[in-house]
Amino acid sequence: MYVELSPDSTPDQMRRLIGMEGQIKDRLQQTLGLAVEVKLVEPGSIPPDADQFRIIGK
Amino acid sequence: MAAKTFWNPEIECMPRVEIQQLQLERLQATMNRAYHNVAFYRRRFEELDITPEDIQTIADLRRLPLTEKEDLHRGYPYGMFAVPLREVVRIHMSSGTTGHPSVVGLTANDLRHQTDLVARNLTAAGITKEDVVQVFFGYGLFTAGFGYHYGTEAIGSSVIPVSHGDTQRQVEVMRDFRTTVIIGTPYYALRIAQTAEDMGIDSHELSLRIGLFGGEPWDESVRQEIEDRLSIKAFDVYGLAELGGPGVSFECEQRDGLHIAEDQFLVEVIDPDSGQVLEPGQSGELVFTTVNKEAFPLLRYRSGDLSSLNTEPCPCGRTHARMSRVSQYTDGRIVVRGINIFPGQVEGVLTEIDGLGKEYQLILARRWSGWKCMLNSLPIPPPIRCAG
Repeated sequence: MYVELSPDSTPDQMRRLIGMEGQIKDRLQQTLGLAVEVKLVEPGSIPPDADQFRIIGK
Repeated sequence: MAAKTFWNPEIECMPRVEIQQLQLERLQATMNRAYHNVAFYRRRFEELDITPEDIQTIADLRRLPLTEKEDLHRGYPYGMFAVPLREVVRIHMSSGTTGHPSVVGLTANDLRHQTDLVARNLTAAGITKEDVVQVFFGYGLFTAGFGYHYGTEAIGSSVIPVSHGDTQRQVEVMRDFRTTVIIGTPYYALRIAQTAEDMGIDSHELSLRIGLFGGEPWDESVRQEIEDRLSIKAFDVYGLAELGGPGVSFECEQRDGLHIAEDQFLVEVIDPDSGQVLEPGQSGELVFTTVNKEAFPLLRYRSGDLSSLNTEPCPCGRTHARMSRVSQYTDGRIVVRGINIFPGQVEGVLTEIDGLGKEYQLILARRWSGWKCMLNSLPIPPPIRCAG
């Protein structure tokens, strides 16, 4: 995963987000029993009507 | 010598009218057990102002409301048990739609019946005591590993409890121990096939001949690919942790639907929206009533699995109804490596973490290598952008 900081973001915000991804991964692993790659994206990136679960491949 | 075709021919080939009589007798005992020992079911009967004695026919069962997954979660951990804990000899768990999972208990008799079902399943696929069976379903809280393990021992095959993971090791064991049968999830079988190829092992060098696969949706194209790449005959199997695990239904050598163990389960297919019971051949949600469970009886339990029933005679000689392959669910769940994932579980995690938005998308890449799960979720702080 690559994280790109915007010019006005602070190192504190970056650290917080990285920590958050780890936290989500850990909690999901605990809850689902599966390792999940987590990628945080900007607000508005996911259309509200998008499928919550999307399967790609056959 | 020809392989034994039936494990329990008296039951598996019982005339349908006798199966229905057996179901009714067992159903009445099950309802009494549930009524007297499970507060949830007693309330259900009282709300309807009926007692188990009012259920005189199998059709009368429709007077009872459906049991939902949430009802099981509310009983967490032991609220749905119909026997004291001292009579429960094994406890399993299935994933819950939201917070709590469902906890399933089995008495010694329940385990004996469970093992018998799996033995029928293995025998129907042509597996014998001459076989070496490698189980790569997960053990632990998941029911399938243990279920197939003890069923395999019951028919006298040699069981290798490899469980899930370490795919190279799986292939080495398969080769060195001359495994003839593999049992697990279909996409993991493809991963094993790929790993064997990467290791330079031709499937024809292995001793494999049969595979039993279930725990996640798969179709005929996947069956064909597994058969081609591993040089085996692949069978579909079905089970539910809430029903005790594997062996609930399985394909015979005809591979034209999965025979349901109707001496243990009474199955209905309903319209998932209206709850109306559908006729054989119509597709809807499978609803199960256990008719022989001591520890964890379920009355009209909604499985969330979409299928249809076929009560026509099967050329194999089994009289038990067949269900079509389950490939869709009514409850928004997806199944990965035999594990149910419900939207509510993901949402439950996300709502507990500050700074996240409401939108998320879980992307599952289904490939030869198995599944890759990615979660996209929206953080509140806008200045950070993450790119994959």
